Amino acid sequence: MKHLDETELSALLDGALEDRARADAERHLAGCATCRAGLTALEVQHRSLALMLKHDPGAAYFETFAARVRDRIQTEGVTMDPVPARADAAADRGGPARPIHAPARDSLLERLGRWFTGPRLAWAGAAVAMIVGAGVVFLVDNEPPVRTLEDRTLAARARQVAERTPAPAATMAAPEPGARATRGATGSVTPSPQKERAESRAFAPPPPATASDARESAVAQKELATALDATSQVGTASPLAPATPSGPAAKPQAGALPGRSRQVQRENGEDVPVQVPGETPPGTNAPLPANRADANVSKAQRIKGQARTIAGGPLDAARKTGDSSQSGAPGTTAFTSTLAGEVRVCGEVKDVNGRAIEGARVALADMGSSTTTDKAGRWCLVTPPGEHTVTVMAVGFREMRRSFGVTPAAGNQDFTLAAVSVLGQAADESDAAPPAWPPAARGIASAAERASRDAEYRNTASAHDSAATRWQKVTEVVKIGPSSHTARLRLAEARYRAWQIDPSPERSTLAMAALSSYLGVAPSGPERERAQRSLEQLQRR
Amino acid sequence: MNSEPRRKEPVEPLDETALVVAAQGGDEAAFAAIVGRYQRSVYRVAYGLTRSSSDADDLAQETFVRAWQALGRFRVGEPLHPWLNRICVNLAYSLFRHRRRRPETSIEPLVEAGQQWAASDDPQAEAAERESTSQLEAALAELSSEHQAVLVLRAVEDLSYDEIAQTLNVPIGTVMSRLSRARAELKARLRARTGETE
Repeated sequence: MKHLDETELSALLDGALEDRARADAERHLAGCATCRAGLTALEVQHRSLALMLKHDPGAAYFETFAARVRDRIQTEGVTMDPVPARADAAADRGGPARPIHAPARDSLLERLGRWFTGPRLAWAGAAVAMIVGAGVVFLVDNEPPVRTLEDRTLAARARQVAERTPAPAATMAAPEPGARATRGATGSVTPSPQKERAESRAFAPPPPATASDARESAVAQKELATALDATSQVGTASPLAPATPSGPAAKPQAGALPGRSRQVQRENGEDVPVQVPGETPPGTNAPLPANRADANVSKAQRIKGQARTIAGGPLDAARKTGDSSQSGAPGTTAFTSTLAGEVRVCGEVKDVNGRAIEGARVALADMGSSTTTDKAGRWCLVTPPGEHTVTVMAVGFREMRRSFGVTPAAGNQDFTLAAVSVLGQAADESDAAPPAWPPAARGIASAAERASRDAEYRNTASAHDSAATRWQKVTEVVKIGPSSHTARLRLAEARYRAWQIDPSPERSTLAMAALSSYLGVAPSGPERERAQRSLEQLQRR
Repeated sequence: MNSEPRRKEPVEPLDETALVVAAQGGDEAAFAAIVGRYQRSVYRVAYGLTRSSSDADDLAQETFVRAWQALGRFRVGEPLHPWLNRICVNLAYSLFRHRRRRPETSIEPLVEAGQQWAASDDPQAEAAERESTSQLEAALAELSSEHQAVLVLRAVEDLSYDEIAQTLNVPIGTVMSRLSRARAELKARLRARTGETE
């Protein structure tokens, strides 16, 4: 008896055999236990494969997917490729001669196109390559050194860190391994794979290339100031208002997007966007200045209990004095008052030698507010009482997170950051060592950390969704131990933040699942209590 | 067993053509509608090929970014679904080549977010199932990119041989033989891992 071969069994499984062949195969199967077993084994394998590869990131993920694609297209400046002329083919199909957006080419262009064929095209290409190459060499040789505020800050930070470690200052300022190369950064970084490229395109907006762009940027800054004035006049600033008064973020940046109020500052060797009041996420249409203020107000009203400042606070002072590096200093420009029930939390950020770290980013992640430290390393944020998590980030230092209970009687929250060495290892592990991720999870955990930082800056639900997706992957890899607890906590935080910013039933479900997952393993402590309260809040809604 | 392959997201050709024409004219809303229509399908394929939610996220987004870029060259009236899947598969091939290795392994896919932490009534059975899934995934990762792609398109998207042929731009006969060889190789690799004999 001739058994069915693998191809016949496979096609039979898929219903892809022709009628006659199928009838023959089924007749054979009826009398052949071997082939029946073979077919059953194939079917089991097929079903197992389908089950294994099934994955649903959830409705919330897809709700924002198209917007994220649009953001990428706009951020990266992707345009549709020109359409080749194929009028004959289109006419054959009865369709339009060419897509609507493609203007009809004039006959001269078509003639030129026909001329540039074969060897002529090759010679023309070679000539163009030579001209472009010569132009690039000319531009590189004549380009003046980039001297921006970030570079000076970075250089100062490099010197500070270099004093702690034996590595040369020039390399200390280099980004951590895996970070991408950015314009003006010292040291060299090998561009990483496609994912890194995508992140690079998404995070690093192009600097104004022309005087016109610079003018537009200046206009955008003026519009922003107008919007901020309007906001502070009604006494309810953006929850992110404290982020702007001090440090380099408050000054117009070379990296600001033309026509937008988006700014960048150097963080861990990367240009990262700095969220400012009135800012719209990348890719969205920037509202008119008047509307921007309204948007700030409504946003502040929408997000209850967010940290805020008031008119006359450091933001106001910063604009009046025009010296952002001084005006935001919590020690010199205190908040004139706080709204009822709110508490001003202050502290200092220093390195392990006790020296102040200027320009460190201090964020209340759960409140969506942040600020930067002044020259003395001091910071202040106004927030409702309760359990909060503070994240501190500074170029050249390891990120530090701490949860604590905010009360009117609470003392200062000081942070001591450990320096990061050239190899990305802590120069001093005595403080704030992050969780030791297993080797298999280091890469994805690092990506998740970056996504979370991005989400904190962008302060959008979709950004937190994206961060949650990455943390979820970490939880899939790290299943036991303290790092598993951390991964689950970070996933829960990201889910909860996404829900806070843009509540939906799907996000609520995902946040509750993530919080429950964390609470299932969480040790007792303030993090657990905070997660428990967050879960209860979700359940009450 | 022999049921006809089903299309999970039936589309209306006329609507699709209108959307394509509008999107080719620069209508972002039309393109967003296209994205909304096929995002789940593209994500499923991306996840099947990478077995990683973050890679799938990147790959799915990149697929639509590339689609927008190349939309002007898309022939109006042809089905979008295989075209998008082809972009996704080709991007995955590039990703694999770039990494010079197979997609990441030992990721246990989750049917739904949060389900992974659900308590199990039978921990032993769950552990055995997890081990079995892990072996299957490792065996799949050992296959060539072409074999993985054909298996994913068939198992995840339930595409017919004709649709797979359109997606991979190969004849139907090639799909049939490639799928058969991929299944046989997967079975052999799995047996080698588990120590089972014929």
